[in-house]
Amino acid sequence: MFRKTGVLLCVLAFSLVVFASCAGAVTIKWLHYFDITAPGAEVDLDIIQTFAQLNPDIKLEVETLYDDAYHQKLAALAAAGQLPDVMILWPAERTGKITRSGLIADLYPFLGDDIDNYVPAAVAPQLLGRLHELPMFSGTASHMLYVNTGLLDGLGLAMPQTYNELKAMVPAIRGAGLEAIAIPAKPTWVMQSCLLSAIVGRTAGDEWLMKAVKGEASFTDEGFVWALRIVEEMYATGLILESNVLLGYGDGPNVFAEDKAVFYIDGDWRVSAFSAVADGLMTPEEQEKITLTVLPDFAGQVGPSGSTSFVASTGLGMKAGLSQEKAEAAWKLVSFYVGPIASKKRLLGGSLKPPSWTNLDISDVEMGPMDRKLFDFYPLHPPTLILDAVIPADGVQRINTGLQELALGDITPEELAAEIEAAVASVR
Amino acid sequence: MSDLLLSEERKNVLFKIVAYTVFISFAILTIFPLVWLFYSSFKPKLEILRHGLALPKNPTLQNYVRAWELGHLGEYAINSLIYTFFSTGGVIILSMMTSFAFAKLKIKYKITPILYNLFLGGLLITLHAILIPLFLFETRIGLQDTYLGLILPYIAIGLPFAIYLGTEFIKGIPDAIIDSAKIDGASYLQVFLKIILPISKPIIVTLTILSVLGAWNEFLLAFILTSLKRSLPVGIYMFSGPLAIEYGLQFAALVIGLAPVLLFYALFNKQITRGLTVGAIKG
Amino acid sequence: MNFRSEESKKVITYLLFVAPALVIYLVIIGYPIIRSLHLSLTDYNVYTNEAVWTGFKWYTKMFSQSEFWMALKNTMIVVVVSVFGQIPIGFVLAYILYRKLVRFRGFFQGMVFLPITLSMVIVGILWLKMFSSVGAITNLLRLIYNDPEYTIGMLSSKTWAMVPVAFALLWIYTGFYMVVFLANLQRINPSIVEAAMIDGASEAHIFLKVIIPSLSGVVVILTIFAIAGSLKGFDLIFALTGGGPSNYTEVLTLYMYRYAFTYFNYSFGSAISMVIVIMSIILIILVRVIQRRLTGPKEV
Repeated sequence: MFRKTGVLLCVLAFSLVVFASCAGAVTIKWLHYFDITAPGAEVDLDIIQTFAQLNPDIKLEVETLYDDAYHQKLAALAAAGQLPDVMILWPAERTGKITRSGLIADLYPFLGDDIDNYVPAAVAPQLLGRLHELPMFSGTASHMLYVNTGLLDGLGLAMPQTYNELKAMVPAIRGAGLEAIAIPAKPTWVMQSCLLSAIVGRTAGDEWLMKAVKGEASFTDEGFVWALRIVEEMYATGLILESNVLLGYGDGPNVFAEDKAVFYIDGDWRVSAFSAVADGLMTPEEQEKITLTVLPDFAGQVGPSGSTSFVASTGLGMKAGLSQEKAEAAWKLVSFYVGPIASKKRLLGGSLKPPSWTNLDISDVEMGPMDRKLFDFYPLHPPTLILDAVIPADGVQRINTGLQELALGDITPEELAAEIEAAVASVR
Repeated sequence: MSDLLLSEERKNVLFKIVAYTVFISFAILTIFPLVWLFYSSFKPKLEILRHGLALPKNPTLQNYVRAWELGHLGEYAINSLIYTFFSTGGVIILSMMTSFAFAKLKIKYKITPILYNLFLGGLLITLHAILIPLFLFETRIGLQDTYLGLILPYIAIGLPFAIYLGTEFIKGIPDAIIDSAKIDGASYLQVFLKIILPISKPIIVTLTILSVLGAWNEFLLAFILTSLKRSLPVGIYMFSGPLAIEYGLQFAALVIGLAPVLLFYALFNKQITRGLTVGAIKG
Repeated sequence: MNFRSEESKKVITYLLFVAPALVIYLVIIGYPIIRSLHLSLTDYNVYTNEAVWTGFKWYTKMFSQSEFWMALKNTMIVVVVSVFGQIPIGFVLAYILYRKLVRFRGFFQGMVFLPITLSMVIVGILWLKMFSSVGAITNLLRLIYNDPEYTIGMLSSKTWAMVPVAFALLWIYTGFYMVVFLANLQRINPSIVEAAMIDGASEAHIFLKVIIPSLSGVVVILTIFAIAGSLKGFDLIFALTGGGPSNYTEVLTLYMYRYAFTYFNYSFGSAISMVIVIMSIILIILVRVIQRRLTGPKEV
């Protein structure tokens, strides 16, 4: 047992951050998901430090990882029976194997009446009807249409109100030597998560999707095939150029920021790439010209108008079966991390997604133009499901690679739908 | 007669043109990306975006400063040095000991051929065949993401070839030298340290080059078996890979990743060329 | 000093000298191979550490997936490019150097060999950047074609997507074969060549009757190297294309990586890795058989 009496130890050794404190400390091991190189990284460190100062009796051992490395380590620790006390989890399948295994505590008992302080969508039941993590934000929209109104005005075009209007703009845009829609579709998940999910939400709807996952409906049904046909058409008509299938994920924002495309499709998380104070790709003046919206409606769609694909955000979860003392300390951390102090810090630090904590006074938060628009985005766009949050891995794999084949004209929507149905059926 | 000579000469000229074309193409393929990367890494963001081919107008070191800090490249370079140093040392010590035993210690139990072939079998095994169990095994016993957890696999993978080269080499050392030392009262350990190792210097140099380059450039195992204690290639992949947005920083990181080996190659070109091909150069 | 104690000393030394390497080797390579085979025949749950016997379920699943056949096809393309591209070109380059047909031989040899000393992941990322929208190649082509939107169609073609990958592999590995051939050429006794020349033998005659026969042994070794190396290849393609677009450049190692380490299906991944091992053994035996067929009749 380490006893570093009277010293507030705050070591930042490489990416291992240890916040130690006074005697009699409870130690909480925390596996943290977060990109230490991302804009705004200091904010997260500040939140952790503030927690450590407010809770001198809790000693934090934080390990920080990002992307695949995080998931590998989490799987490794879970497999070894050495899960950390607190870790970042996903509301759906991304960490589904772990949350379904019973290794993670249900947070509803801890939350109690505090549940009223959160945006209802954020604290809605997750896998198995439990709350495995307390989401940081009100949620994540995986589909967003970024519009460069400067270019649009320059071409004498108005914001498209329907998909057909959008399609009709292609000749004018291409004639001016610009791309219509850019999408960094090189990683195979992008078209599925940021494009097809939102379209399926409109053409087939969530109810159908849940039935299809269970086998009560088929992926060869008209609504889904229609969605695939729309994707095929977007490429065939030049609304999206085939070259986007080779556009790297890091290259996308650069293309849009360089005024080479009128529209850009990506998730809401990409706003910070443009708006981050220190190293964002757009100046405030440039951001003023950007409108954040979604693909316009399709004639005859069954889903809600103006919808986007949406998932609850990530947040901290706790290991199941902690001792009373540890569980209390861990819950303090979990709730602090999404509570008013931390949420405010995040907003002030430039990570401007609406927090899951309601009733936060944001009048003194300075927002860049694009961030303000992001705040206004969510109330306007009803949520639908994201495909990879509900479809099993084998099906997602076929959708992901299949969409690129579709874009390149190597498969028909009907063939692809049949193959997706077969892949999902094999694991239903 | 003169016509014939001329055509012979023409043929030669033609042959030379082809020969130069092929070699110059290869050289350009090697040099051009490196040169482009190097000068681009000094370009500010907008110059990279708008003038992809041009030389820097306002050269800056900022890309390097920020890539070094944000990417933790110094830390990863130290990790890589640790992995390289200890795995190379391990491979050489263990393989020379084993090779000595295989080549010169003729014991009455005939196990040498069995063990030797067991090691040689390792040459046929692809890394992918051991990757999953190794990951699961290291995870379970807590070796994953430790220095030892990567050094041990690097040693194990290096052993088969090192033992093959070492044994073949030591077999060539005359028994008489060893026998006379034994008669003078030297122990086997002394024979190994004082006679075998000094004579084996050429093969040790070769093994060092093979092992250093192998460990320094290795990616897949380091990618799977480490999460914090990343090696330089993994760190650079994470930093300059598919998610990265800022080109200048990525370019700087790539230069940092390539520079040590380029320097090493410039200094030890001959030894490296020989070292990497020695296994295949047999009549 | 009696004989028995001398012999036992020898045995003890032998054991002490061999044991450390053997233990590490068996734990890190031996055990995982067997474990991998076992995993591939079970349904393994990593969280409970339980493996339920499934027989060949994962293998049948694999053979029914079009992804597998695409990966297999691309892997075979890599093998073919290595054996019938890198080896012959490597030989031609070596022969040019050997016959001193160009000047600056040290420089050229150094430049052709350099790529294989570099980290394949870093080289992959570098080439990726070269072909990206800010990259040198893209900008050069756009300049040449005077079309600011020019893109290289081959990169996204189902039929041709492997060509750039194969080209990169050719550029990287040819140097290895060149150096090996050169070393073996230089071992040919120059007086044999000279004697043939004095006898009035033509260049072609010398080439066919003196040079080629002396290299047949090394060609077999290099073919085995090329096959084994091709089946192992991962880093470059992982960084360069990631198997895309769609799965047009996917090879077996990437296919295995994805199922094991992004979908966490360790059993299925193990089955794929077993297929890679079996393929590599079959191909190497095949080379040996062909070698015997070709050289057999002459010896008889």
